[in-house]
Amino acid sequence: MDLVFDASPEDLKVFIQEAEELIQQLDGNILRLEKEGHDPELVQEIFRAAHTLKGSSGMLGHERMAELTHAVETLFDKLRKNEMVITTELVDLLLNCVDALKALKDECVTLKASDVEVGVLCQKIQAFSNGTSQGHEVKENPLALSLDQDEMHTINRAEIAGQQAFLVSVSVASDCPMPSVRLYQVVEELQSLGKIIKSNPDIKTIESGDCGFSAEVVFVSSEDQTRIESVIKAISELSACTIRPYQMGTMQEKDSDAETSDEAVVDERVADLGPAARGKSPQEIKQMKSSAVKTVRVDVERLDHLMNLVGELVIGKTRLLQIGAELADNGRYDEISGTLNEVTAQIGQITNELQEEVMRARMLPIEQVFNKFPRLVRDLARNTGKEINFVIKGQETEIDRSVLEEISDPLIHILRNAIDHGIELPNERKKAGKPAQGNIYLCARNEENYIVVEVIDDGRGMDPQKLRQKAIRRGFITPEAAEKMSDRDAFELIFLSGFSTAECVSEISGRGVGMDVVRNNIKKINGSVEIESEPGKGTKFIIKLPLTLVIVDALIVVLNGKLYAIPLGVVKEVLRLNPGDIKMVDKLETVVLRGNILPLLRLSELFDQAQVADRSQDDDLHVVVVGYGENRVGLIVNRLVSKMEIMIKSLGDYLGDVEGISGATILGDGKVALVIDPVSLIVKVDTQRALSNQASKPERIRTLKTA
Amino acid sequence: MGVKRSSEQYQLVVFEVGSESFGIDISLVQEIIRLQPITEVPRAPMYVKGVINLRGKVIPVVDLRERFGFAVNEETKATRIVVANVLGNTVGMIVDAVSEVLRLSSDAIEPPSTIIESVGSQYLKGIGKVEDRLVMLLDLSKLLVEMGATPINEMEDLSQVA
Repeated sequence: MDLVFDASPEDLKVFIQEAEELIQQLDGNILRLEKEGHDPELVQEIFRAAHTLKGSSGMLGHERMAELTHAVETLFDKLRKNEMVITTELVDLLLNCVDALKALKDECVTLKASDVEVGVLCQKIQAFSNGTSQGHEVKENPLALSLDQDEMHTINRAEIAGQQAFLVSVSVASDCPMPSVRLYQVVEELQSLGKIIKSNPDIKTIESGDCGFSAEVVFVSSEDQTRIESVIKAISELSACTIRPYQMGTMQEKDSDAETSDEAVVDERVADLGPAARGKSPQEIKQMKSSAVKTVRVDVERLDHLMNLVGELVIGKTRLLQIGAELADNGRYDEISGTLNEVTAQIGQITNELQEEVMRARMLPIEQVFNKFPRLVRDLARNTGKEINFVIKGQETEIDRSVLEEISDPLIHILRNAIDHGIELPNERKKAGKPAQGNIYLCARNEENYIVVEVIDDGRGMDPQKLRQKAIRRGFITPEAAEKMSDRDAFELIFLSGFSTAECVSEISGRGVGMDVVRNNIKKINGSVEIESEPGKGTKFIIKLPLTLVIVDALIVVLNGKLYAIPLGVVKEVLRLNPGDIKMVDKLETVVLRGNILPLLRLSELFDQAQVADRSQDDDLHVVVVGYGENRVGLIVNRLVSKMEIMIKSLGDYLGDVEGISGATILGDGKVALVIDPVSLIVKVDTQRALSNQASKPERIRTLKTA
Repeated sequence: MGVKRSSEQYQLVVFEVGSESFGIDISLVQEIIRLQPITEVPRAPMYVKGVINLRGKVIPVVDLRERFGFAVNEETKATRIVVANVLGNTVGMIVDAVSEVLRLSSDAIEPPSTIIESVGSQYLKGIGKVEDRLVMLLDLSKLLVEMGATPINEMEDLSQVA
């Protein structure tokens, strides 16, 4: 079925973006709710998010979404009023709803109806609200129990007199013919034990028999909780009964909740603050609320464009500087050229600042990716029967959005591995003398020009010896090489394709990508990943990511008289070789470097066939060694120029993929230099080697796939 | 092309390549710039001269003279790069000169097939008659898009026919 929404494509885009954020927020907050228990602020936040989503989906004419969010909103309204208790079942249901909302949101993209059954979910929610689901301490009817000033004073005085305030909630079994009688009985009993401050429904209503199946009573008594409980529970036909000390604090919060609920509509902006608003006190949220008005949403493309313009401005500035220098060279130094230099310097300063600001505007907190993980960990832990305490730190660390997009998948895989293979089952952990609950930490922090993300688990760890043996069995390395291999290198083995540490591949680890893809993905964005592990103690993945992908450090080299840039992230070292050092192995030029064979690639020949002839006349050769994963290739260039910060730009669709070139950059003088793509070159050399290996069947060195 | 102006008028940018005049719809032309230093792209098709920096954007440049099989003239002061937006791509075309902007009513345009029998005609929208000259109206979307795929030697015929 095709869907039609009452909105322009532009509005739809905005809605989808907003919905995505709100759903993500719901997801995260519901999980926090499960973990941290009832927190009025959190419930209020979820309520607001659901409310906002309801409003905007309604406006769009997305009726199914509006219906579902309405149900969720109603549910949270009850939670807010303390009429329901959070249980695992409730969280499960709510998470199902979040999943359904995601599917419904996707409908706006595909414009096709999904198979989400909103009706069924709404019924389930309804059932929960009515307390019929598994007889939890869920009460019927919306009960609004808030105390006024006088009543609070009464409690205060009673407390000073040594009495205690209790909140008693009771529900009568739904098959009870006369619920009001039972509720009246409860009230009677309570009155005999102490003094009723307030009840809902109030005593008169109960007496009149015109009430529902549940009641909530605040009363003060000098009796202790157990005594009250035993008295109330003696009354027959009660389906649920909770008695807990009534805190003045909760009362006040309830009051402020009541206030904010009136403001809920006005407050929608707060929901827009997104994850940043989490864990903030109401005062802080109020502050954020006022600052939220000063925020605008900007299309990412617009920011990219802005960045381009700034780049162009930098080039313009450089040219101005050149003109100034030329004037001075020609001896035409006068007042005007002096002013020119002055203005140029000023423009230069402004440009640098502008560039920094635009860069910062493109940064997003890494939270946007981290937010997905609590849900993932929870689900996996439940599926595998493991108990996991998942802690996230440093989620506010900012990173360029281009990097952000790339790290999600590798992190998911590492987390899956940690849960599936790292953390042991509870009884296994107990046997090993560890607490039943395993810990996984996900931390992010800034370190110089990098973002460091660590995934730490206290599971069974990895045994380097086992890894070595397995690598030998699989034919990845020779026994001799294994002996020489350090523990650190042994851990690296898990990144080889086709190398899995799991004894049996479970559904979880089998579903995703291999560890080799994890490393390749991280390498692709000029990041690195390292492993530390100790058998029995746990494993630590340390991922280093660049702050941005768009602007990278590069080595500028000369090939056939033209400038090229090689991203510095993949450059391992720079060598100077004598042509005599080069040996031919399998028709490929190679050189032996510290005992390893390094294949060489003459870039000038690759890029310009005409250059092939004059190899013999070579002087010393400049070799840039680039590495990617386990592979190393030496690129022979004519000359090295300098290190420079460059902004990588696409060559555009028209030219398509050019072998060995990943894009272009604009140099300080406005000229375009091409950016070399070392990864594709390494793959190329590797394939050549593999092919010639197959042809001549020499001793297998170590050919690794780089898919 | 094909955007009809009021009273069926076409507005064309007319440029010279070799000895011929070509016209393209003005709405496709983003700008016309002087010849700039071009960075060659290795392993790109012959007629792609390379890439240039257009205010911070890297765009490919095609040499229409080479593309049409004309002798590549020395660069003169008149040599220009016509920057066009075609099917979402920005592409620069080197031409010998840009001569004028022309209004042409649809009556003055003949379909290409009646005049030219060559295969190259598929890249022509038509032939415009302007006083005593002929202006070949290029179908840029076809020309540039298909350029990426296969080279078209047939276009050489154009110089003899018109």
